[in-house]
Amino acid sequence: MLLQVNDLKVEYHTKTKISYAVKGVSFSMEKGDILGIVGESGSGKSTMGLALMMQLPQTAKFTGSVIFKDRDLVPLTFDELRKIKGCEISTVFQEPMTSLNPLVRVGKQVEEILKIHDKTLTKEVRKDKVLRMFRNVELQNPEEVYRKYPHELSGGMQQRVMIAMALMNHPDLLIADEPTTALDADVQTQILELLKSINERYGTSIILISHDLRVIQKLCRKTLVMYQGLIVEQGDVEQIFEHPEHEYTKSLISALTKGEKESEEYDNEAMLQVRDLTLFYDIKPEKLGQKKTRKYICRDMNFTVHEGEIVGLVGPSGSGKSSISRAILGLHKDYTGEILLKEPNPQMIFQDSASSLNPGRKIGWILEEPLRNLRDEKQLKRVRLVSRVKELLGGEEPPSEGARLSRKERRAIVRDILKHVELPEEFLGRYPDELSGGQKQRVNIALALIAGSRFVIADEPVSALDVTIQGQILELLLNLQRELNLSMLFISHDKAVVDRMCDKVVQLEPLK
Amino acid sequence: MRYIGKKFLTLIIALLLISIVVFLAFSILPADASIAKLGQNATPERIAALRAEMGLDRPVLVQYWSWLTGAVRGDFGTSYQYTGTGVASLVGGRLGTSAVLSLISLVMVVVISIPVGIFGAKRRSVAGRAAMTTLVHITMGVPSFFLGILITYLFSLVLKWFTIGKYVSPAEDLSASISYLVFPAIAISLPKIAMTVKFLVSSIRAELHKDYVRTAYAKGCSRNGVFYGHVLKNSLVPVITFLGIIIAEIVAGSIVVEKVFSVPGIGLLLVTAISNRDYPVVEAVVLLIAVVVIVINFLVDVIYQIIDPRVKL
Repeated sequence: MLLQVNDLKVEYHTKTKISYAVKGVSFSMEKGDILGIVGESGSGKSTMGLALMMQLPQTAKFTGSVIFKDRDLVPLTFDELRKIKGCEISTVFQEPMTSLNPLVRVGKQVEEILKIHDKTLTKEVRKDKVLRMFRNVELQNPEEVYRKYPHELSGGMQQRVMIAMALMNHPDLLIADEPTTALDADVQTQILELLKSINERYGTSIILISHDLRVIQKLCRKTLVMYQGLIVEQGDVEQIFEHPEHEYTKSLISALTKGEKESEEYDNEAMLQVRDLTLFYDIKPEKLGQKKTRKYICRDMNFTVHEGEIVGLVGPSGSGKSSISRAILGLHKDYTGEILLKEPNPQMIFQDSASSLNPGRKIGWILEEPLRNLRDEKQLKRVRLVSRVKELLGGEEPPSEGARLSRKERRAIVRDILKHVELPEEFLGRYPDELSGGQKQRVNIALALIAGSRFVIADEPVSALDVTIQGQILELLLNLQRELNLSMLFISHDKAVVDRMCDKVVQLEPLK
Repeated sequence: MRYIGKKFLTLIIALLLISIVVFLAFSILPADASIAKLGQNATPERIAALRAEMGLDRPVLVQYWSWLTGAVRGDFGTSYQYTGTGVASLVGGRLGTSAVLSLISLVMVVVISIPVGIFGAKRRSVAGRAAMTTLVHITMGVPSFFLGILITYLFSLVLKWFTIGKYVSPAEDLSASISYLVFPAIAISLPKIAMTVKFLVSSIRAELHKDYVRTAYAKGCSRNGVFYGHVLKNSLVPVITFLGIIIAEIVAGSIVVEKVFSVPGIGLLLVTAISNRDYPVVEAVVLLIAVVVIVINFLVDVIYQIIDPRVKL
């Protein structure tokens, strides 16, 4: 038995209240195992990770026992723990960029972990060991990497450096807290493979903490599912996948295995046509006499979004996903080719649901705003038609109050759209802060649709949400597609989400 | 190197702009230097004659050009007040005194505020923090000239540690000079120390919550290892920029304090020159102070780049 955790409880004490992050958790792991801990944010998985690393902030009180190699870590003092940390238990964190000291060359930072635990090693020996470990974690040109500062390395390389650092003293246990969350999909896979090979080669036991069941599935044989500070399920990953017992686990898995959408063929009118689109930006000359250089973001893109169709735009960061959406919105003007829109003013749904809503206004006011300023007669006609104002007002002719929508009409449209995004009417009187992330994203969707737009660009609309909420929002978007014949350009880095949502996928590759 | 070259170019441009502003400021003043020299009752003929003699009747651009070319060669013309004395020698004779005074002040700021800041940042108790903040805010709020008066009263009149007015120039006896200048230096630096402490404390506190600190603890670093090996250097990066501003304020602060302690530096020279409308001297001193401030900021930028590898253009 390498690690045995008994009835671990963690409480955060602040001036005003005590909150319980982990409410009594017990589990054990054998030497050489890879154990997954999965859960959404707030489930206590990260707090537990910190507790296992003995890195809890001072406001946290914890009880129970963490028996590591027949020794309880909980009563140990800071200096006793120091000998274990970085030597017998090592950690890899989520953000490799900020986890490294920006002012120190990475080689030196990795060397430090040797220096702390074995003062007898000479400089040459230490450097030699670091270079060898760099090679083991498959870093190209270790000598060069050794001399680099963190910001000069890519995210994947930084994470390899972090892993090399964690392995320097050949720890018995490696705790990896969301090690791949901040990385691109293909780099994610590489890092996970690296962790697996480390486990096989050195027999290092690994605890992998993640919100992503697929990551857990790729690497672990056993897993714990945490929900609201408790372990709700534990055991074999495959078994949990096949026979989930707890409701939460079931929703986690069903969110994953919703499977692919049956793609339909659309040949009706096109909402968006992109022809031979090449995006670029010009870099201003830095020196006098230098010519301006042109940097290409993507070349010769061709795709069409038909009415009622959801088209996915997929690619790693830097492949131009967001630039294409900006070009469609008319915000990026440096392009050649054609972008044809059936309706003007396409609307967007962004990843960050909170910052798109004015925090000082109530939801009702926010939703009415686009309607309040409508003056253009053609647009007014369209809004009245699309949102079936006449029907909403019970057959009553819309009052023709000059060239604007009357208060009554606006209210009716807002109520109607709220129904579509499945929010209760009381929400009109609430401020954005009083809503959860998922509810705010529903408001954003309503906002995108309110002025009669039936084509929206959704830029990572669920990436910031928890898995269960993700599922609900995706379901809502699919419903809207059916009910309102909504067309959508769906931008995402997440292949599973795209498979579930989209009728057609446009794959982007970063230009060399 | 490219970064430094770029910074150097902006330095030259800034200096040129300052010279223009300084020169224009004095040439648009209604009270002409000739009137200042001859008095309000002088006849127009005499004034015209003197203006011609001083070259004040030439177009402004021509005057500026001859002033600038002279300034580059170190020739700032002659003082109106001390007739026949070159401005350069007048300023040069006092430059050493002011330089020593500013240097002592700066050393005090660095040597005192860094340890105090570290000490302050490590205080965790509520009472300790409150005491620290109160002390810092009071010290920050007291103006240098008032501190100067308090210090002269306490150390010169009550304790008799030095005699006010009995200043020895550094050329004559450096240690005697320093032991006199320490007192005005305290008056100048005390508010600056408080500011730097406050800045450093908040910088350290911000750094302590960064992810790399967590990494350092996870490596098994000791508390001091984390603090001195990782946190301190990162916290000092913004402080370096801050010190650039502080140096400018020290130079500016010495003008008033030199008067209070009757230290014959360029600050005292400037105050006297202004009240006597001795424009060549005023121009030269203002330009000199501006140059010092800009050059120091240039040095700060260079040091900044050496310390922080991310600053590269």
